[in-house]
Amino acid sequence: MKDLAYREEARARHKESFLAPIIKANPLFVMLLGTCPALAVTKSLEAAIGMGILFTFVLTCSNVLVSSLRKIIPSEVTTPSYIVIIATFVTLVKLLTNAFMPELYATLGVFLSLLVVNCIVLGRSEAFASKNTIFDSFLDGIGNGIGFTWAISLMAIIREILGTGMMTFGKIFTFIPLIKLPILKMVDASNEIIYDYSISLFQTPVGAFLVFGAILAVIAAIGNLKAKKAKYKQKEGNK
Amino acid sequence: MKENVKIYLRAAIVLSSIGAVSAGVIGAVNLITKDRIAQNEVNATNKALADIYENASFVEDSEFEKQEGVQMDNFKVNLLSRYEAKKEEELLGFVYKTSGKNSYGEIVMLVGINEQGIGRISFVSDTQTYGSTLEDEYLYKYNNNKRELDDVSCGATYGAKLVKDMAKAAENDYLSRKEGK
Repeated sequence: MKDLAYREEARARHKESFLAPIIKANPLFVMLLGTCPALAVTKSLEAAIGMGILFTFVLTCSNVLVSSLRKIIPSEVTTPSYIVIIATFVTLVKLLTNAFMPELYATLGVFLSLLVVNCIVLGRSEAFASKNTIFDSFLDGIGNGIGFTWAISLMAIIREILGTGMMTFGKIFTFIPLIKLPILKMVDASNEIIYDYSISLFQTPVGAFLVFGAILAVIAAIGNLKAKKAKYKQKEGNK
Repeated sequence: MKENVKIYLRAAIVLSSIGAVSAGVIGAVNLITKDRIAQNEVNATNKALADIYENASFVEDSEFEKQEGVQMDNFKVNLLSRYEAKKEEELLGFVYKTSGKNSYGEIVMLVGINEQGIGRISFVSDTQTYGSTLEDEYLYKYNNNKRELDDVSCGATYGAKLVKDMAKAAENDYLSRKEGK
């Protein structure tokens, strides 16, 4: 009986570790962490997806390693140890990306190196992986990675469509054919513009802040609406 | 006292071990990837060369000596190599490979130069935080509108100053060689 309760508890904990960071405790939109790469690499969807995948890899690997060494690392050197571990994974990712996906490496530029000091990666190591099991830390890494990836992808979709008027695929991920989907901008075969409703401001850092602010405002509005509904229901119940 | 030494010693051993393992792993991956990275750099240079003089053949000047830390108006820049661009035995001009750094990162770029002065400019690599602004705004406007380097404005003034310094260093070298001859 006790064993069954423990299993149930563990299952709920695993589920929470994985699902919470995707929506309820999204690192970017709810915790407001990792905003630097989110503003910098969301000019195109491909760059955002690339950053999201590399971020997920670094976060998951560092979480797993920190969790597996949590009983060995003395409390006096936790932060230096975590930084060395994270920096190692970031360096590996940099070398591999430079070798096998040079276009992605060039696009992400310095923001790939800056993953070493990314507050989500360092924060999850300190706050979660150093106190939880390897499996929970793995799930937490994957969950936060997915949460961060979809969040920056959403920003990138909005910025790319509004800023360039089209969605481009195959420019960074060169293993897929180059496809340009015209949405707000259309050009003919001789590159003459047929119509162009794009606003290039959205490709600039100002546009990144505007999009980020607008998304946060929508999330806050939904949160407020939910709270009001709950309050109203409570009042009705009291009557 | 003895207890303290034990604590510090343990911390030092653990941290050193993590550092040593990390260094080993990075070293191994570096061995695997270094040839491919070097090849990618050659490909990037070839692509940038073709962007400067289309359909030309390029021969690297083997007598050119690398010049490091050339002081320009705003930054110190490096002249890495020089190429001769020819099309059917006709000399089109020269291409200088230059590099420079400011506090936002490093740029490696090629500058085309001939009798008419500074020609097209193409980036080999750019690690500036606002890199794409510099490439999309500044270089695009300069290369496509055939303007003077000083007349182009963009949202990355600091990076544009570095590009100007690198291009002018290449031009100075070209002119001094021309006068020398």
